[in-house]
Amino acid sequence: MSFIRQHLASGRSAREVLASHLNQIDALNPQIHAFISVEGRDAARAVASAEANPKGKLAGVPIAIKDNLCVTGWETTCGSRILKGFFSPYNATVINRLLAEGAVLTGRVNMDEFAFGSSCETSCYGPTRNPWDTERVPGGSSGGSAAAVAAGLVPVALGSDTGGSVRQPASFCGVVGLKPTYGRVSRYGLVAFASSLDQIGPITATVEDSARILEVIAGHDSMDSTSSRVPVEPYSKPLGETIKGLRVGLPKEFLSFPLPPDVQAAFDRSIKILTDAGAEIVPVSLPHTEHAVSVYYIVGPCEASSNLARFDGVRYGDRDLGAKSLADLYLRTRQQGLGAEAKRRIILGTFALSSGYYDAYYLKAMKVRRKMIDDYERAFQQADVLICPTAPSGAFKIGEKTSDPMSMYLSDIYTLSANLVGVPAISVPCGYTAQGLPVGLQFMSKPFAETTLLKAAYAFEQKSGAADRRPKIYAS
Amino acid sequence: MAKIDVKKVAQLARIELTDEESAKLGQQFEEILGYIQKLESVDTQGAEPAYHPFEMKNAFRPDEVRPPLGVERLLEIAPRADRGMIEVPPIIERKD
Repeated sequence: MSFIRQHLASGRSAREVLASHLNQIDALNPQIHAFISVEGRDAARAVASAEANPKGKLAGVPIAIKDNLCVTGWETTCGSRILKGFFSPYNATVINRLLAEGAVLTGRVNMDEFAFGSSCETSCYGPTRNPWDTERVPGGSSGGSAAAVAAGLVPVALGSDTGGSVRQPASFCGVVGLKPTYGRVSRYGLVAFASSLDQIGPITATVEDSARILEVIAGHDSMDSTSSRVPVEPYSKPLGETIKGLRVGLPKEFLSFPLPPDVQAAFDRSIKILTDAGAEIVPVSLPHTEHAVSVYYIVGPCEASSNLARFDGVRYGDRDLGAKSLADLYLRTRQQGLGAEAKRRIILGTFALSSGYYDAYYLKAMKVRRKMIDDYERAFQQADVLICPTAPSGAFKIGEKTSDPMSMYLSDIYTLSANLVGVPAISVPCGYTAQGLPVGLQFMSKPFAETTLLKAAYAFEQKSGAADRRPKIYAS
Repeated sequence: MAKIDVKKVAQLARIELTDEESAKLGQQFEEILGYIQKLESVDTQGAEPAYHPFEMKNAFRPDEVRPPLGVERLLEIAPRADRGMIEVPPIIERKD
């Protein structure tokens, strides 16, 4: 049941709701390490303004913020040493929109450094742990956001998604993660990773909460020229409508990837649930799917190498104070301030953009990306939504993949395409592995068809019941 | 397949690397580029490069004066500042 709807109907005071969540943070955060700072004073101030404005769509709803979104006066570090000491002088647009509706921002949650990762292990603060099994990763890069919601530390968290960073941790933590259409949500105040891929999205316990957050954060913003003027729809209104006749596409290329039997069983069961609800299953083809990882690991690092050039120790964050020349200052600040994965991606991107290799790597990848966009346009003529697993497994163990970047990259095969082609996508819990770890089902839809996407995801969620289970730690 | 001169590219990216870091990255890049090489097999003749997911025209907005954050506010977040300016080590050495 939607936390937000229940909360607004209950008449419970914002103060009481905040206190109970702060208690939960005190009790569980030491084991989970989702929050890297709790901003109690700001939260108390927001409670006061929520009480003064009880009509807000999110009046008194506690929300955690990923460490790459700027909040005035909060340290914003992207999980990186190089930004230690950077206290944001302004709010991201999404933050202003949440505050205007009475949301209570409770603090910053952990992430992979600069969102480079699928496990939350590359954070300079150390890893976040999965509430379902604290020996395992919560996924990433928005691992802190997903773990915080799964452990009941907050009902809602914001994350960002460049190649699956909202959806994959949602899958690993048994919660709902939405990546809106490219341009649906303003990115002003989001520290940029890859500007043609990044989107901000909510992580929530239910699809309805996801829709209610999107209604608040979506829309054009003059501070982000890539934000869209397509009208925002009342996404939560049509939830509960029948999906009879909805055409659900099964992309055959996604089905050809090998899956462990328990994940496969959860996926097969999902197809049956949708069929039983009246959806029509149609086979579709996305011929360039196998190239998504290659295209992504060119585009992402190229754009990141350019975006992260600003972290040079001059204007903000940390600086090597012993440097004797400006060039030395750049080199030493970046050597000390950036972690291994950040260095790997910046250098890879610099290489792929360098003279002599640009055509072979960057330009070639951009052309294959066009082919992928064409594939999706064709598929969406035959289907209203597409489904596939969100990730090829449940959460892996901490340390299992850190020494092998390629295997980490390959775990993103199902999620990368939505960013490359710009379509919205959502992960909804759909079952459990043999070890009792949650796995997610991913839905994708046409650009700006979030209403259809959320309606399908909601219908599935209601029938599947997979989201009703909670991690043991939550109940204890 | 292309081979990355890791130290040289790292210099272009203004990142100092230890020998150990360079060696490890060199190995990993070989694996990553080996994987990425598959792209060569895709027929992309006539395909317009997609720099963005959607075609976007110039996004104009009215040219209105808005209050800026203010120099002081921005200098506060710089690691070192002095008399309204950000301080950095010398760019050009003086030779007397």
